[in-house]
Amino acid sequence: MASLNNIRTRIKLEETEVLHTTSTDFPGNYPGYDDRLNLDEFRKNLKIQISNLDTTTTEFDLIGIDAAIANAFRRILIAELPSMAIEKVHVTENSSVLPDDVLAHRLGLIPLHADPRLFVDKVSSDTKEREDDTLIFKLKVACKKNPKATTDGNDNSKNPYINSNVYTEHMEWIPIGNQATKFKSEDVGPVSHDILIVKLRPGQEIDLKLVCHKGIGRDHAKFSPVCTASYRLMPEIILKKPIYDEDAEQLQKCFTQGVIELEDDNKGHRRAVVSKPRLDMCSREALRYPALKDCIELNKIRDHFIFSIESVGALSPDQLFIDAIKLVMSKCDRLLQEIDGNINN
Amino acid sequence: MQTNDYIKLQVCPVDDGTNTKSTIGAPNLSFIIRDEDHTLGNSLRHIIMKNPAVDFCGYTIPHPSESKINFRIQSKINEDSTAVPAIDIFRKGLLDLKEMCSIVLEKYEESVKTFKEMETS
Amino acid sequence: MDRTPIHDPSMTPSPNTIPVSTTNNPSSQNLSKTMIYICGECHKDNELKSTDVIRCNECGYRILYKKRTKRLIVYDAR
Repeated sequence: MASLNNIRTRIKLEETEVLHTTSTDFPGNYPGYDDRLNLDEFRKNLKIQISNLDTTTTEFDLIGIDAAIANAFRRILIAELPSMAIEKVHVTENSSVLPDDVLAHRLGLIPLHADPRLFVDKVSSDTKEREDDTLIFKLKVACKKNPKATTDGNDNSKNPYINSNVYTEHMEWIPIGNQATKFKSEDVGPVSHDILIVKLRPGQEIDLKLVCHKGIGRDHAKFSPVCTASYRLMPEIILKKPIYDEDAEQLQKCFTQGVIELEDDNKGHRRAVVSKPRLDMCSREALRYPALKDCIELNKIRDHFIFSIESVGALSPDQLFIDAIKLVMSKCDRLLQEIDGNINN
Repeated sequence: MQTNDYIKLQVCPVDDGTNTKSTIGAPNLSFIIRDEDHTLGNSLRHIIMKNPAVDFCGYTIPHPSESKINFRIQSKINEDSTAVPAIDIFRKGLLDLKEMCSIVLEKYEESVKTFKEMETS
Repeated sequence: MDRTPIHDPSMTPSPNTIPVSTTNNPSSQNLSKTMIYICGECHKDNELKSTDVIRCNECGYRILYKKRTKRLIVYDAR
């Protein structure tokens, strides 16, 4: 017997099913409710609270927005924001144990610092390497025996080989055109310098030219600018009856640490109190115990999204979210352009 | 990827038995939007459904290998047989989505600014 | 997934491609040209002409391998 407000605003988590998952607040569905789109109301009700923001990750709350829009932002963050990545590998020499194509595949996945906004998309028919759409790196490493290494392991260089591990720090940027004046090597190089590319032994060497282009995640996952972008809904735990002592302890164990706290009430009992529902991971463990099943109600608030974005390293996560919003707007602009063009025809 | 040399939006001809092939004032229209998927489809559908003049709004992806969506809008016919043209509803939906995004953008940039100020202080 | 590398099409022999090189007969080049082959056992480089007996100069093993091509191969990093 859920109240109307609950059906409209909450997703109910039961023991065997999840109810009211879709938004039904459209005009005409509920008599007495005016559900038409009101952008002033939207502006008033929308709240954004940033929990943390640093150079690689951000977690923030988007309250008052519908799942369709929040999901659009998430999908764009993963698949439609551009980034630069290695696209072509020119192999002059590869005597390592990895076949050429496996090595090329590994190189494609290396994240680069290059800001994709400073580059343009490459026209696929154009084979010339232009300064505004291409980055070139050179990777030339040969492995040799280390003459200084001794077998008793007492010296500094215990490693019997020189250059046996090829890391991303061995990638050398070759500027083309006016790139040397615009960028520094740190601005366009790999994000991490200790990514192991391939292992070599004496006599093996690799001599490669790496050509980078701009692309989007939908084309190949290497172009996705986020490690991942995800959201979860804000959980809500309602204690229908007061729960004391052993039952309260049992309840506390059913949730993540910190969600349920025990408070001493005046009569000498310890009562369970919901302290931080945000930490709950919605495992519904409490519904498995018959003693607790009827005392609690587990819900999710349908328009409260806890977004988490982790950037690969090229752009900061807040900049990525801003770009995602702008991309939705530009998609709308493109369609509006076509409509207005059609009407004129 | 903003090439303007292909048709992104195609309005399907109205097939309601009448001789008029004009899609301008039609209350029910189907659109084919190329190079789009659930990202734009679902969000646009949600915004258009919030319009009280809409009787039906839905979208489908005919085949997942083909990157296009079929978007249908049917507008409510009033007692005096008039109806808001579907193309106007589509246009309003796009403008509303754009406006919604700009509100989110404004509030987000504000929050980032306040957060950064709080961090430095 | 197309994993075949990009080769210069005029180099692969086929009835349709007309060789652009000035020497007409490709086999006449190999008669005098000395190629380096690698022994299958001792991995030593052997210089061999097309008229020589096929065996390693050092260990006598009769299976020799060709060296990696000097042509540039371009791979898609996908």
